[in-house]
Amino acid sequence: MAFTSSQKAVSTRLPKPLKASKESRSERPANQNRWMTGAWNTVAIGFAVVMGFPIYWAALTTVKSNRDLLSQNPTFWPRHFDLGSYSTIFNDPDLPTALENTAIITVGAVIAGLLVGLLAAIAVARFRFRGRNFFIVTMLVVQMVPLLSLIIPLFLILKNIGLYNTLFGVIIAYLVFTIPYVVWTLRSFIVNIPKELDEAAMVDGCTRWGAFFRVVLPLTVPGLVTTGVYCWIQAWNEFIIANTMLSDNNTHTGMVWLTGYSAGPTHAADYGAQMAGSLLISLPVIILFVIFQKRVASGLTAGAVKG
Amino acid sequence: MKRKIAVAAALASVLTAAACSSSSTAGSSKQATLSTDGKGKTINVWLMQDAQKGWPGVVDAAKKQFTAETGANVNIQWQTWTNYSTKLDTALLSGNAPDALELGNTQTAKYIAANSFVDLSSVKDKFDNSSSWLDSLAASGQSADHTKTYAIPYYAGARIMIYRKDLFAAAGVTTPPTTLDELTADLTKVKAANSKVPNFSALYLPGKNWYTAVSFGAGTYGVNNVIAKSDGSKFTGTLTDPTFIQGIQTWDTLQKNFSSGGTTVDETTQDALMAKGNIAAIIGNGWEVGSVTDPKTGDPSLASKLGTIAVPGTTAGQPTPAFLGGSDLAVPTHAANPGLGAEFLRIFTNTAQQTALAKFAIPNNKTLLPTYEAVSDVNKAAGAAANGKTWFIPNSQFWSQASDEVALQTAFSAIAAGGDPTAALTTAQTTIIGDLNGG
Amino acid sequence: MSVIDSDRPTASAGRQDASPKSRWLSRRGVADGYMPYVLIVPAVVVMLGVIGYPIFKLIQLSFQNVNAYLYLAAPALVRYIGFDGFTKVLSDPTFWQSVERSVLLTVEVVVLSIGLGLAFAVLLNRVSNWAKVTVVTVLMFVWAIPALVSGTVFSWLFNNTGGVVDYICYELGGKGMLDHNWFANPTQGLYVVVAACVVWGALPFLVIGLNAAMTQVPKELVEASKIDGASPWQSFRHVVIPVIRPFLLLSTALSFIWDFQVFAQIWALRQNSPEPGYQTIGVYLYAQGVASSHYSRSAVVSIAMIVLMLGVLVFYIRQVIKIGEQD
Repeated sequence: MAFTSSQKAVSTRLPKPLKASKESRSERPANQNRWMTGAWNTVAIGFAVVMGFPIYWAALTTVKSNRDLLSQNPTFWPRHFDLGSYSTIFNDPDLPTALENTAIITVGAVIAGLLVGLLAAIAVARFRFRGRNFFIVTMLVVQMVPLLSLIIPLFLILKNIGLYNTLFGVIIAYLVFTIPYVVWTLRSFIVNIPKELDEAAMVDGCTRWGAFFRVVLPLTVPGLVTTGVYCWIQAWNEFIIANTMLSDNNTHTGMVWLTGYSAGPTHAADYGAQMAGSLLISLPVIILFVIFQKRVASGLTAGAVKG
Repeated sequence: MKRKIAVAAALASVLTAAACSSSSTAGSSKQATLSTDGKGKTINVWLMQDAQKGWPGVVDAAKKQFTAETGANVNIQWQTWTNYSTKLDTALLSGNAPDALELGNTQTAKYIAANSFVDLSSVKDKFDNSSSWLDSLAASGQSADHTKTYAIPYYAGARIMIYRKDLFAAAGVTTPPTTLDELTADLTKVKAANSKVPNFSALYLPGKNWYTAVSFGAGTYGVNNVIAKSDGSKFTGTLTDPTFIQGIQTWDTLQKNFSSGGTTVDETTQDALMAKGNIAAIIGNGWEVGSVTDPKTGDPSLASKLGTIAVPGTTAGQPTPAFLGGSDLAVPTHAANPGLGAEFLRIFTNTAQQTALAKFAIPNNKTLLPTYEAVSDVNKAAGAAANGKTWFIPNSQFWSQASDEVALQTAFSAIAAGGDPTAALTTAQTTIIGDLNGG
Repeated sequence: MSVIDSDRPTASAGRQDASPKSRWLSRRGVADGYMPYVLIVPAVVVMLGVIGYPIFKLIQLSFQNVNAYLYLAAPALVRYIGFDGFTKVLSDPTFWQSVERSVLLTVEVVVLSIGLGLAFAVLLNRVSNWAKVTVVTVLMFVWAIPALVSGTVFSWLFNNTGGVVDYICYELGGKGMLDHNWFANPTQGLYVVVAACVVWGALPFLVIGLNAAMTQVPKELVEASKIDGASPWQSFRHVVIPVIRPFLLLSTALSFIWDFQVFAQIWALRQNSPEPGYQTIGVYLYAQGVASSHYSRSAVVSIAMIVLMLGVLVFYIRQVIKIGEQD
């Protein structure tokens, strides 16, 4: 909703050629394109089938038994649906807690990461200051540090500040990978937004911040969504930090919960339930993305022209 | 170098012991090694989900008894095995270490060497059946020189042979094999009778199942000092010992002749493959019978067709030694209530609890083995395997699952794929000895 | 052009001179002097707090002898050993073999995933809305699946007893493929199966990200270039690429960083016991370092990894800094 008003603000201030572009887009040469679009659609669906096949296979295992997992003539369609895997996971009393913890950690890490990262991204994309290059390079180097080797030092920090075994501590730990990523990616989006737009807004009486909120921020939305989704998935699927830093039952995350269905010394792996669980756990991020996808697609970005 | 490590270890014991005694006087109110004074307190205990899924009743009974006896509450924090070693590395350093915890018997040595567990030697006698604890399991809880006890045996697991009685009978085999020679003869018949089944394995021996492969080596080499032996300060390898190689060659011959499609995989899919019907026999844990016949994971119609025996050995009545896997229980030195933690372990492993546990897993002692064996034929075979000779990994703080066990899996996978046993095991031995000697 | 730029003549100086407003803006230059610092303060504070110490600790560990849990538990035993740790790792042939494998795998995976990512990002702009929604939804599913789970699924697909891929190859005419063991030969296992698994997992981010970046390409420019007689490839090369260049470079660099560290997929595909032929630097770090409680060694390996990556990315970093300066 906030977007629509700011978008209006953008479009009224856009230079002429941009408006023209909006009109020209609606009147594409149709005939020849229709045939081409059909061909491209076919390619796209082929791509979706190949990409989706492993997911489909994972979904299949949730309705058929382990012994059909590997069979001489694989069945591409289950002969009978066995929803036992789903009843296993839905009857698991630990699922709601695990999902809740994962949601808290993820939302916290994503919001904190986006906020802090966005500010820094604006600084490095829009300003020139002493230490800027050093800051940018550091943010890249940080992403090269393997998370695995940080476990012990991170643990020592969280322990010393009393955040070991707390969800908040894990949120903090996740900022290690969210912030540098957000800074780098958003920077590349903001660099692409012409500064003339801020200036035009400022000439029209906006303050620097006003210009930022009404002009730059809306144009950054696709970038924010992309980086947000990335951070969300990273945080949502992270296992080693969550498993190492959280030990109590009521702090287990979804990923830790999933490993409970792996093979143990006294029981076999329940692959059906594990796959059902991981598909279920991945649903929120997909729903979230579909919601934001509309925002992105609604033409918010049509006006960003460089030069 | 080696001496340096020995000195370092000794020094560490002194230093950490000093650190502990000072911190316990300052902090945790000087609890006795076993304490029943727990009014108003709550202890945290880390147990593996195996208990939650397998024998929650045993845990509940122990909790009830503990609360009645000490007035303290118990919070069980369920853990999973994935990445557990990193989790322990950190948790045992922290101020919030649990008051008692479970860990794999291959994981204990490094924590014992670092004095991260409370010395329970003085109260060992108060633990039921402590004189008849299963040997390998008890050894995994001891200091490297076997003079002190730091971890309490919890339960064990031993691999047995699970076979299709119907397929064996159809091939004319009605009495189970008692020696390796008989096994070979029987498998040859089973293989011949099923020559038309694609990918048929008369005995499925996946290349990465190092537990089983080493068992065959231990069958000819002996169960002591398997993989490596120590002269007190330094390890030398025994994998390339000719008598060990001899057993590995037996395994390799069985693998080549009777197992198909398993050279590069481990044992995790063998239950599913057996349920599919392409496999006449596997070597696995007792519970795998349940997994092969489970309606969801396997084929229930096989339930009456599966037989179990201890893996036959070179002579009748002497099965191939099994690897005695299992879990131990210990009290971290950084626990807030070490005495109460130890008391909980005492109750959790007492005769009543272990008798109840014996329905689901091999109990921690020989006295209760008959109870376990009485439950089913499967248990009978597994009990026989656990009661016979068993082998264990070298008792060293430097043993690493991710490095040494992987080296062994790689070696046996290479042998299964046609590699030379001596060459493959020499490579693995170099890695393992390098690790064990603190390289 | 940012306001402070007006102090220094840059590439865009001409435009500044042309606009009378810039003088008005430059009066606010003082405020802008500290503005960027205000903006990065939260990030700097968090980064210093959360990762400053770990990185310091990592460097410290690399010069120490913390190669067993014992040393972690008894800090009094910890000694500085100078470069001994580095000498040991750098003189280990296994380490260099892992590096070699990682480099090859990374090059393969980055080239494939960026190439395919670009192609399908362009494709998404040409398809009907329903097709786009379908593809994006599938991609989101793929993206949301954790690496460990995708490793498990791929190990089923490529299994040699009843794996689907073998079956499909067989049905398509590959006679000997029915029981083909993809993992028996590590070259095939690593550069085909592992690569497929990693590319598969990397594509959603690249396709969706590059497609989002392409929404910033002005349509009328593309159309103008078409009217001027440019081929689709030319207009892609000269109109689209320059606009998405920052994100393209960024995602290539990030793909490089991520793929160089690949670990979870290999670990899962090889059932927690990767053979030597599957040992990439990420696997080496985990097996020889972290999971074996060799904390100093894992610090050394991590630092070596960072240096290697920096060596490759130094051109990119210079590029980025240059882009920054031009703006």
